[in-house]
Amino acid sequence: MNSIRRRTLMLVLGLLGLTLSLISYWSYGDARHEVEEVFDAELLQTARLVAGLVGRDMAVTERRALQAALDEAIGGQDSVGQAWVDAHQYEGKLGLLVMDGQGVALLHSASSPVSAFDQLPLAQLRAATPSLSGTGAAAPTLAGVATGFRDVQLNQQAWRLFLLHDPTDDLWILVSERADVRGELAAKIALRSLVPDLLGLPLVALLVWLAVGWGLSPLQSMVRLLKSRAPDSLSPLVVGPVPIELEAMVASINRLMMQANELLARERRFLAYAAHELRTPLTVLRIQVHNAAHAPDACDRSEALKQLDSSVLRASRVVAQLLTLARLEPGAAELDLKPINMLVRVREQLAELTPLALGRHQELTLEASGPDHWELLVDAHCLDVLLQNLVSNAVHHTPEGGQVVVRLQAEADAVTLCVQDSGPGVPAEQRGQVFEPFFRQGPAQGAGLGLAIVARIVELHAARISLDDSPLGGLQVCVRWPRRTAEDAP
Amino acid sequence: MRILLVEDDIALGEGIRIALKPEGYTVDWLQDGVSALHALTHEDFDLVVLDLGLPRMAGLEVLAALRAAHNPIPVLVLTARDSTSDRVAGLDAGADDYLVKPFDVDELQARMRALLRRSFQRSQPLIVHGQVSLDPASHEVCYAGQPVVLQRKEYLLLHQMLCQPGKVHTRDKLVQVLYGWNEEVESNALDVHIHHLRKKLHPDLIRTVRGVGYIVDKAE
Repeated sequence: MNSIRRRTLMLVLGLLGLTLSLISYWSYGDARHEVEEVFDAELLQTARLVAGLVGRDMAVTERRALQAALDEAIGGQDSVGQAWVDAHQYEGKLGLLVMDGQGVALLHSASSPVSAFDQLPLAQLRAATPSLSGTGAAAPTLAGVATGFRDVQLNQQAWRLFLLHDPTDDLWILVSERADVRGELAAKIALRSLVPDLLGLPLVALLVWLAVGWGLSPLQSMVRLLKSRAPDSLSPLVVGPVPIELEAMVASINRLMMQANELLARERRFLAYAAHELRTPLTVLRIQVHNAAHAPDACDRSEALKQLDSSVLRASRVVAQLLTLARLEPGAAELDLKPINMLVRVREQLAELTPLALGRHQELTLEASGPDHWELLVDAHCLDVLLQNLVSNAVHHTPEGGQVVVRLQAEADAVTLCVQDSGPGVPAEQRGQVFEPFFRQGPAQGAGLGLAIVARIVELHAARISLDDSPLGGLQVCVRWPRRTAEDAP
Repeated sequence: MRILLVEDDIALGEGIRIALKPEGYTVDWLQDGVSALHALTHEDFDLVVLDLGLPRMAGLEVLAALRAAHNPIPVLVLTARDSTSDRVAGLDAGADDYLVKPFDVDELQARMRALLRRSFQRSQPLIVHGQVSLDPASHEVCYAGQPVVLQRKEYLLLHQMLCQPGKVHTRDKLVQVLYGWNEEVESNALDVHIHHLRKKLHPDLIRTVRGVGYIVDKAE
């Protein structure tokens, strides 16, 4: 399930966990370093203390007593093997070794890891090892051995060593300590600081969960609002102040609603008009059937039947025009754009339309001007329909014996097609209305859809249409087709 | 009866005109609202058949202007709008009846008869005046129970005058009833038709008001 709430929670917890891990890693390192410092300081102090206690010319018995006391002190047990009552868990991992310049052990605590000296990079020291408890024969000198701290691995345990050289007595004091105590302590310190964080994580998760829910509440109230609407309601969403993140969404939804509303209103208007427009031809048919049936003689009857026939033709034309317009509706229309030679195509169409004009004793002519470049990206069928409508409009509105001229003008970026007639023209104030479906000027014969279809075709081709006074005295309709390449076609 | 038909659709107007002619009406036909209102203001008609979708002036506006001028002429509205609200709007604007396209011609004729009857304040479809009876639906005319055969124009005259007994009909009005705008008026024809009516029915049925016109007296 894809949930913003869950995703945000996971993201926040993931980042929190990562940050915590980094912090604890860093604080562990820091604690460890500090612990090292403290322990090292102690180691150093112990070495100095022992250096102060032990003298080179100390009697053997004295040394033995000192060693026993030291063993008792750092071994964690008293002289009878009893553990100290006030023993501390970090005690008892200390070893001591005091040697003279030749590596002869003067003092050697029980807990000191003898083999630690193997790890020292000193051949001399190793050579001295067998005689640690002996009286000490001639042995190589320790002079030149580097003093200071070093880490060694002994019996699978890490040890920290410190070698101090007391130059006045030429004594070498080696203090050793198990390093695991330090790691343990540092880990404990780091862990202690991490524990509250780890325990708090579930609480943080809960709080984040609630916070995200609260943050998303405007979204949820929007969902509730949308759910509560009637499924076919297209009214705009009415919401109070909306968070800016949702503003764009609400605006988009409302814009969509508005578009759907407009489209629906347009459809309804069209349907109402279509029904309206089909009623008139049907009425005519009905009356003419009546008239034919009631005709007093054969002559009247044949006249009535003739009219009936032309009315059927007219009704079919209305239906055809309605269908053409419906097919050109937004969403339904898909243009088949191809390069067309406008001059050739228009000439072919005019050849077919000429009988229409001849029937009214009108002169229909084609004039072309401009460079010989007539290629244009158009839908050929649409161009035919447009020309048929414009020319038949001109022919119908021009009196018998009038003139209809189709002009084609090629320009660099467009081809302009004008249809001029010598009819009565259209008054300037009506020119805006003529493209409305079902608008008719004067007594009606057609469906009043011709120019609505033309306007739709013009719109689909991103062309421009204009109505003007014709030089012939009537109306001039011009359509300017921009030259387009296949790329910028819609 | 003189009817004004206002219809912008040419085929429809022509069809209605042809259908109404044998019904004993003189039909004058106009195709836009402005000329219709002009004709109704200046001439006498007995009934208007009015389409609503008209160029220049919508039918409802014509109707409103007509009623605003207190013109009581019966108006039958023809329309393709069939919703209740459209019908209510039409009737409220002053229409007397409402016919939705596509309508039946017989229904149109029956509604026209009913409107005319109401406008002449008759309750009976049959017009009876003394011994004379006239049936507007069948165009049958009887005198003393016997059918009388009348010419179309004789019938038009008789129908017009029987509808308004006691009213003087001027010669001009009667000529308009006979001919409308489109027919050539024959001189003296009115007097000839009146003469025939008197001969076929009763010499005293129609009285001449000298210099003015003719009258059918109110029945006793």
